[in-house]
Amino acid sequence: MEYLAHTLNLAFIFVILTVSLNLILGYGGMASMAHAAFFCIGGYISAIVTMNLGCNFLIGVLTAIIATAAVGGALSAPFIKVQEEYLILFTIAFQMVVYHLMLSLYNITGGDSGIFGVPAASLFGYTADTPARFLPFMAAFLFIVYYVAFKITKSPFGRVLKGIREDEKAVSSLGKNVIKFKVIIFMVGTGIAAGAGGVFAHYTRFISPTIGSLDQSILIIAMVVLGGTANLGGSALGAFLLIIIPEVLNFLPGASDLIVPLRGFIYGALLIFFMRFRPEGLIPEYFHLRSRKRTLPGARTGKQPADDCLHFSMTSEEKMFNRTGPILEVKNLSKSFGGLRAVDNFFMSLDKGKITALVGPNGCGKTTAFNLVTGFLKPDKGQIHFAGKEITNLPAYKMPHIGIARSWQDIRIFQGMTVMDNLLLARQSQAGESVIRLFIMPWRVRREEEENIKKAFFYLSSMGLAEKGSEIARNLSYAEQKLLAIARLLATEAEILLLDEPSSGVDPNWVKQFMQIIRGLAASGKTICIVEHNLDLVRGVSDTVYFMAEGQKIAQGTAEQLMADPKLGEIYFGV
Amino acid sequence: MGLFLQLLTRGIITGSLYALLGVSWGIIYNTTRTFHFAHGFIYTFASYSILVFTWMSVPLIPSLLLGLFTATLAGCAVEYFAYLPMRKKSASQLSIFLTAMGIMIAGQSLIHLVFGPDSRPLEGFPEHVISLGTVTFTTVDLFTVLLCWIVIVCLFAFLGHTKAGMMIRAVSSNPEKATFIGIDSRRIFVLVFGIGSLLVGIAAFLSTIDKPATPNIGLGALLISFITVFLGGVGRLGGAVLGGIILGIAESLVIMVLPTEYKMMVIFLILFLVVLIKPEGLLGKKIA
Repeated sequence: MEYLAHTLNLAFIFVILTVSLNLILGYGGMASMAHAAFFCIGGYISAIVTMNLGCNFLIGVLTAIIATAAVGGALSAPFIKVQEEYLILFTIAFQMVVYHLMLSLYNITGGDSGIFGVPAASLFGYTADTPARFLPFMAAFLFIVYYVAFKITKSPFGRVLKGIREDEKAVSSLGKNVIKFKVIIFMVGTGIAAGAGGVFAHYTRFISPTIGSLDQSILIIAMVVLGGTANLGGSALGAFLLIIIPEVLNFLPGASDLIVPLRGFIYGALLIFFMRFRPEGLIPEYFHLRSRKRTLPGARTGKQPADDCLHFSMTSEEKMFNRTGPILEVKNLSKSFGGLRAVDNFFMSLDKGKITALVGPNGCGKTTAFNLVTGFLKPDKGQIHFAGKEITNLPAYKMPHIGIARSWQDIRIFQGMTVMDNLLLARQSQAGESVIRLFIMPWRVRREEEENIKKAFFYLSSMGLAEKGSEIARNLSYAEQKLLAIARLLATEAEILLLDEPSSGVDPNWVKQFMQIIRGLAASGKTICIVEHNLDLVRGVSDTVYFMAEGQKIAQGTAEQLMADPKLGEIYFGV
Repeated sequence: MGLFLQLLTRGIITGSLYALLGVSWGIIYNTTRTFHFAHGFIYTFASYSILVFTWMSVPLIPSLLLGLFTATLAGCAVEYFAYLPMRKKSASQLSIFLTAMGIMIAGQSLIHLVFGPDSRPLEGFPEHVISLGTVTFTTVDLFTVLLCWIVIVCLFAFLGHTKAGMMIRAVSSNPEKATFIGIDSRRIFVLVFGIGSLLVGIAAFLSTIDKPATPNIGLGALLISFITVFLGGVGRLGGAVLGGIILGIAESLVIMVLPTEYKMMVIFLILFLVVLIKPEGLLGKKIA
């Protein structure tokens, strides 16, 4: 009986570790090689705190969670910022250092013999001094971890994470600070691991470095991969299966010396096999099914005919800007790549409610200018002012928030997400994108989400996509995907919309529809700037055209004026 | 002063080996952007293949050459049979990394299963102590330093002055454009894995004549290889050389002020500070 209870406790601990690593690896898309180290650190913190202060084990565990998450976040942030490989680099190095330190700091950790006599867990006079008596605590902890993980992953926060895994650039163009989201999910995952370490220390009443080795970290990774990344149920399955393997190996005759390498071989082989033939794991991510159910009610209630929606109403934010004249001004903007001056002393001003087009031959710097204005590149020189305020060095993710949003030439919609989720991701300042607010004001998150679904549905119907809300984006036709990209852009409710080659790759009928849409938007007060090669479209919609060549503005005027100039034609067509 | 010089000498010896490890991983990472975790397995594999040939009473030098040859083949095989199919499926960097980790763990465990956990010395290399004033080192150390630098110089000459070398550099600076001028990047990838594995095999040989091999020697070597590359700068092989020397000397000199257990921590601290201040590495090109 006690043996069974012990195995169950052990399995629960591994389920918790696997779920928490899945938050980082599966949902965050980042490899943490130091999960066991964080687990072990949590154990030590809780052991030392409770033994020195004589306090309840819950305080020890909470201290472990908070301290480890804070330290883990602070140390990992500079690495997460650079590139995805850098987190692997950091976590391996961290794992090795922590393991060595735990072995060598005898005074604090007791070296390789560890710390004995960690106080047993007790609550309201109930002391968990046997495995069976500990089981309720373990089950409660597992339940809390599952609840937290479930809540986070199905929230707007989880939606942003999913977006990040698909396309980081697109997510930042929708006003989300990608690094912040990654660091936070890393902190949540490591915090839970540390909590598990604390609980484990109070369960075994003992903590030593052996449970915090790199092998353990790799074992947990194998559990996540086997069960299925970005799937919480899969994590439980993966953990249980890999716990059973060594138990079964124990029954093999004469295998006791070989257990360690045999186990290693099996884990390694499983990793190779699953990544190659079944990367989604035993239980794949059922993201689509769930979001389909969620968006259906909104789709039924808010149904409207598409044509009515081309007249966009002024929102409260837009009223702030109900002024005329230039709203975005670009002065002296320059950017070089190596020796190439991609944008050279560029001036531009966008008038409120007007449509401005940037044209010019390939490689003239249009797209670079675009990336500079939207914060995706930092200019070497020059200023950008928006509604009187300087925004020159603002990072890309802040742009939609102040009212400047862009689209992408290669669409960059989130192919694996539903159409509705694509739009919901574009909504600004959502309470549900903060892990803390998710738990302390769930009602506000829920109310906002309903509101956002309504808004998203409005923009979807304005593009005639009302029926497609629950469709996975990759199943839409190319033309529909382009409309979805526009709907998503509108859903940011930005004041200034910058469209990068909106008509590339679609037929003339689509272009006609698009011209109508874009005129409607300008009439409703949006300020629009397009980079475009299709001169019919440019002529059809633009109030002002800037002609660029070799990084500079060489002419400005109405489309007719510029097209009448034979010199520009020569430059444009290269004759 | 005597202690300082002795430690500095030791640092240069270790640093030379680290530099070689660095370029062996760096040439692969710079060209293919694969976080080649299985490099540690190739290291162990090279060590054990040289050992196996000596056990079959092949003399040391032919054993070395045969061992290096099998290690090179093993490296190419990892690319061709494990990574390439995943690249074809356009798998994410993360999944290729996880595969690499699987190969590392499975391979290392397999060596453990076949040869057992005991340490295996590589004998037959003459070892004498050489004293220069207060500084002492062995013939093995001298040989290590010489061979490391000869190999590194040869590698740079190869990359700079041969057609294959230039093709490698073309692919590492821009894989897509290299394809436009008719370079088959798949073949270059396999080639680069071969070269990297040959180099790490030499490093494995040099450490095995100094310290006996165990099934888990590969992890430490792997760790040094990629820390060196990220420290020195991604995209610049010279950076890996510099990073290797800095790590070697730092790790050796730190003994003057801290107990040896803190060696790893000092390496980590250097890495952390460099990433914090100059994320692209000491000689690296700025990351966009």
